[in-house]
Parts: sequence; structure tokens; C-alpha cells
Amino acid sequence: MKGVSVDYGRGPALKKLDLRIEPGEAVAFIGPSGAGKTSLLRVLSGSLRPSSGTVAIDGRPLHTLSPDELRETRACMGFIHQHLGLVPNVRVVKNVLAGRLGRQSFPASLRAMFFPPRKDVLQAHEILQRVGIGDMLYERTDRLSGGQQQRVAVARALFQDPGALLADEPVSSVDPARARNLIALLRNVAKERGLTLLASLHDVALAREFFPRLVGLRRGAVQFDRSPDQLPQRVFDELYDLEAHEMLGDVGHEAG
Amino acid sequence: MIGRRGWVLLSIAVAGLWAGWRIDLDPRDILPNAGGMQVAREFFARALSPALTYESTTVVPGASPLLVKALAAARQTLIFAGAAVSLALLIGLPLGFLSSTIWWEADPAAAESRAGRLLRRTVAPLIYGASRMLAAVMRSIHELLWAVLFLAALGASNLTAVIAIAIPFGGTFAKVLSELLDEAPRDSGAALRAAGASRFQAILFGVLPRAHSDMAAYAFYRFECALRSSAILGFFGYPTLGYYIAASFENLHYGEVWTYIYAMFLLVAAVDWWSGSFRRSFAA
Repeated sequence: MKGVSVDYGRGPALKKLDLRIEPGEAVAFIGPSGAGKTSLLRVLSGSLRPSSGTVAIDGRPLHTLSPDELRETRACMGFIHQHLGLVPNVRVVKNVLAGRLGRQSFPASLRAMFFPPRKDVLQAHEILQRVGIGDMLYERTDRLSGGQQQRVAVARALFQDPGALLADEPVSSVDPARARNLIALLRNVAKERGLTLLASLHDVALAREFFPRLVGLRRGAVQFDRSPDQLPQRVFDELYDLEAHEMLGDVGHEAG
Repeated sequence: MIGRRGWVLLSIAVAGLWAGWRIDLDPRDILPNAGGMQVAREFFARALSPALTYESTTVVPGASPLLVKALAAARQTLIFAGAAVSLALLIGLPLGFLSSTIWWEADPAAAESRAGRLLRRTVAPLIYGASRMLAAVMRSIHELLWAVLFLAALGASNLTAVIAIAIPFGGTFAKVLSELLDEAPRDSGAALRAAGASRFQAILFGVLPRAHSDMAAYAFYRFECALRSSAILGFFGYPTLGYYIAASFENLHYGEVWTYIYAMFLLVAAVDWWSGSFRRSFAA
């Protein structure tokens, strides 16, 4: 992406950002709340149109795409939302199957959702097993714990059969042990399947442990972009060293 | 001091008293005269002893026993209500969808074509406004009034009774569904959009399910209302419970009236039980 800015009308969320990510890379975006992490991920996945600048995925600039081409591109981006975006009052399997809607015509999706073919269900089960909740296939989604629901969201993104996984604050709502497990899981499935992995994280220690490339964001701009071994602790302290007026300024900004 | 809420309650009370004074509400009016007292006493005396056989001495030979007839009338009432609610859903659900805003919101990421902008800025608001208006007109006329109109225009056929109920009920279904859809959480729909789902896929699989259980509960409640309405339509000559209640009442057969009233009560209780068990299975 080149010179990307995003403005929600309350001051810029991203300021002329340049970023290049290679296929198969694993990148963590870190930074305080309101730094623009969520906006960046949404722009990268093609679900938010930047106010200026261009985002290109596989060399195709998103703003030149027709709605159908944009759908195709989005279907290749598995997004795990901070608030998951699952349908709570249906079975887990249905949430997972919904991952593939982007690749189906409307009639085909009716069939796939209401009368799912056996091989789809088997595959959904296989993926759920991979993320550790295989026996939850036919549970109602809102009966699951927060951590399990998170894994449903991961399974849905994987069932989508994407080229990249984007995770927005995937561990903001679980305890540290589970957080570590989940990040390890994301990292491992991304490696197994050769997926690009982009995650926004609050937890610098986790990011350092699991990601070979860290991008520090602050107030919509890139503060640093390096591998963790080259980064002294001082850099992180600076990133999170908020001045009082900045903390007040964060109130009301979009989270992430 | 008196807060905001206090003011609201106070003004409601004042408005109520004023309205009562304007239309000369007098508590003494409710006390019946001697004749009325006699009727009321006879009527309520039978409340605990509904008739089990016909009270009339001249029963038509071959007529089915009273209890069988009451059950048949209840069944007929149920069928009318079922047909009316089904038709109302058939009208109300598409209309409710059209009168919601979820189907024409702009995609925050896609470039908008000229045709798309025309649709969103002009055509869609027109459809939205027209369907809201249509739904409002449908439900602003009560089913009894529709029935009277149809009776005058088309005569008493069972279809007119069903349509009379289905029109205002369809209008209410449209209103309630559109509000449920507009207020349903958007996160799941947005997540599906981000995964490439089309607008209608996202609505069907991401937004509609969020309004599902509320809509089902509301449909059951309206079914109960339809039972009452279809019973009352009997007073206009349709073969539902109201028809027999009116006939027995005219002949001063209060015991039979109570029999039919209890049949109605059973019917409503049964539907209530059915909707309860349905919702429990929904929640499970």
C-alpha cells in the first residue's frame, strides 16, 4: 500500500502510510489504542476505502476493482474481527459454513447453508478439530465460552480458504495463557497453509515472541518496522509512552 | 425536586383526568339498572356451570351434541386464524424487508457506480417510503372495519374474512420486522461482507438470524390476536366461535355462551403453550 490515509471526519486515523507485505509473511501491528491498527487491517482487507492513497493486493489496486472483483478479493482475506461477528443463535457449523459465502452465487449459497453437502460439513469439522473444538460442531454458538467462540471465528476464516489471515486484536478478551495458545495456533495454521498472517496486538511480549516482523503504529503513522531482535526495549517504551493529553485525546477514538 | 420522570408521570395523569372529564366519565354509569342487573346476574350465574347439552327444547334432529359443536367451532376459528396469519406473513415479511434500511446501505469500501448511486439515493428511498406508507395504511384500519367493507362490497365468503384479518396483521408484521431488522446487531453481517459475501447473502445469513427469535415470538403473539379476531368475525356471520356465541346470547342461552367462551379460552391457552414450547426449543 502506498500513501494511504484514512479519515473518519474526526482527524486522520491513518496518515500517509506506506507498507509492503510479501505473501506468506507474518506481521504484527502493535501500538496503543487509537493508533490506527483496526483501520489499517480494514483497509488491507478491502472492507474500508481509504480517503486517499492506494491499496493493491497481488498487484491489483483495490479502487479499480468492480464490486464483483472486490468480493473475490475479500473472499481471499480471512478476517478475524475483534468482536468476532458470529451469529450467536445458530449452530457452530453454520457460522463456519458462512465463511465461504464470498465464493458462492446466491442460489448456491442457499443450498450450501440450508442443505450443506456432506463434504462441506466434514471439512468444517476437520477445521474445528484443527483449532481444538471439533466436538462443538453442533453446539449453539452462544453456548460456547469466549475463547471457544474465538476459535469458531478462526475456523470460519480458515473455511473461507483464504490467502491471508487478518486478526484484529485476537486476544484482547481472553486470559494470558489462552492468548498465547491462540497466537501460537494462528501462527501454526498460517505456516501449515502458507498463509500471510497479519495481526494487531496490544501485547508486545506476544508479538516479539511469535512474529518475525513488527510494525509499531502511533497516531496513524508507522513508528518502526523491523524484526524484534533489532529492536531495543526503549523503542517499545516510547511507543506506549503516552502523554497526558494524548490519553485524553484517545477517548472517543475508534478502539484499536 | 420533581425530576424529568416526575414531570412525565404528572402530565400523563393530568391528561388522563382531563380526557375523562371531557367525555363525562361518571363512575355511577357503570351501575346497571334493575333489568340490566337481572341479566348480568343470570349471565354470570352460569359462569361456573356452562351448558353440556343444548338449552333449547327444540333441537333440530340430527344436530351434533353441543360439546362437539363447540369443538368444531373452535377448530374452525383456529383454521381461520391460521390462514389469516399465514397470509399476513406472506404479505408482511417482504413488505417489512422493503421498509427496512438494511438492503440499501452503501458499502464502505466499494466504488459506487452511477447506477448504484441512483438506486441508493433515489429509487431505494422511494421504495422504502412507499412500502412504509402501504404498511401504515394497512394497519390503520382495524380488521373488523375491513370485514365490514368486504361484507358490503363482496359478501360473506370465508376468503373475505381471512383477507380482512390478514391486511392489518400484514401491516403490523411489516412494521415490526423492519424495526427488528434495522435494530439487529450488524457485526455478523459486516463480518460476512468482509469475507466477500454479497449484500443479500450477508443479510440472509448474518442479519436475519439475529432477528429470528424475536420475530417468531411476535408471530405467535399475533396468532393469538388472530384467534380472537377470527372468533369476533363470527358476529358477522362467519362460522367461527363468535357466530355461535351471538346466536346463544340472543336466545338467552347463557350456559351455551359460557361453553363457547371456555372453548375460546382453551384455544388461546393451547396456542400459548405451543408458542412457549416452541420458543424453548428455539432457545435450546
